[in-house]
Amino acid sequence: MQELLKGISSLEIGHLVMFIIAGVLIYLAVVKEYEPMLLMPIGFGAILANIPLVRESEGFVALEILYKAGIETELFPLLIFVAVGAMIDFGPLLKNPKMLLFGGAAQFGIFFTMTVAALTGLFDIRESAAIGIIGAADGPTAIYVAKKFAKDLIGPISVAAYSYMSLVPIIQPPVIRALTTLEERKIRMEYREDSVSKKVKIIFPIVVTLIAGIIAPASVALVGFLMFGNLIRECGVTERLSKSAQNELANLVTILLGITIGSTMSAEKFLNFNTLLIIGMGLVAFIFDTAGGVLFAKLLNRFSKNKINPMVGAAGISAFPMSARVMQREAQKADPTNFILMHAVSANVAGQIGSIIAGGMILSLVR
Amino acid sequence: MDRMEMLLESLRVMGFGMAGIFIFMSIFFMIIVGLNKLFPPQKDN
Repeated sequence: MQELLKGISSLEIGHLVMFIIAGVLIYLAVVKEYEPMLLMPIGFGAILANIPLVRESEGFVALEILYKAGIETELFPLLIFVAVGAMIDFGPLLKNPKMLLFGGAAQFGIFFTMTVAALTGLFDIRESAAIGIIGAADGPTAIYVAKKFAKDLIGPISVAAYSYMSLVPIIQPPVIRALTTLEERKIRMEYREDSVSKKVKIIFPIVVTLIAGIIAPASVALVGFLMFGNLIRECGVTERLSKSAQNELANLVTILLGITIGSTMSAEKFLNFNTLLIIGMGLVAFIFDTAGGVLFAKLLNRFSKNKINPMVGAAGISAFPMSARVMQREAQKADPTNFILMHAVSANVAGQIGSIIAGGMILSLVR
Repeated sequence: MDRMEMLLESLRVMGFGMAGIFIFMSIFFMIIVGLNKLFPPQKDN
């Protein structure tokens, strides 16, 4: 009898709070459909991690093995990159390469947030960089960098990254409206329906990997795995591999990644003031990403004859295709006949490249 | 590191990081323009 009551008597208030937090994540996933593929496994993993005495049980060993094999070695986020690469069509960007600049400008929130985190005095420079990378709006990059720089913060950083990615439709519009006039949001952009050679689609991922790898070797894993996934999609002779990467690989690794990240969210690691700060700073990162993209587009408009709708700049974050859709919706609110979706998609795809380059930059520059 | 050193270090990372991203993006831009010129779509057909 005493053995049976041991679990109940070991239950602490922290465990109960974590069960509520896990319940909220599962609620957001199931009812609100906010990033359900990740938030649901993370929520369940958090429940498992906070069952009293669980760490003494043999059952938890499986999760520890998954953590060591998939997170400590950085294998899971990299495999996710192969899957993401196989899902991305770089076509819109290859047709409209100018949009690459917005994929760069909209990474500003990463560096701004890193500075804010450093200024709090609560985090060292490596932890600050890991918090800033929430602004990459790219879950695998956030996990990859957090693993390198702030292992203990992986839980809150992952939850913040995936939560805010799903909240892009709520976060971006007010920032855009605050920084643009109605006239600017009505700007129309010409779109030409060009096609891209298959050879270009095949050579592009190879050349990008070579250049990124040679100039910034720290980024080669991030860029290389993404571009490998894209190459098996575009080469036309590995359709089965491409489909496997997009479906089986993506689904399997997502399940394992989610539950493993959740299992790091024990009450003693998660329930502290720093977690609240990290969640708050994640929001700052997304706001300043959006601002960076919008203000950069406005800056270009000062020197360019062909005006750019500044909202396209805000689509330069990595949250694909949600951000592009949000920009189109906002453009039609300003002018129901305006159509900027294809430009926004190009900027959004550029954001996916921008976020991994930003991750590589952080890994190279932070000592 | 005190706060001032942390601030200076994070500003250094910001400056070099943003510059690095734009350099990469500019290189990729030139590569795409070059590839599109080398392999225009009609040549595929």
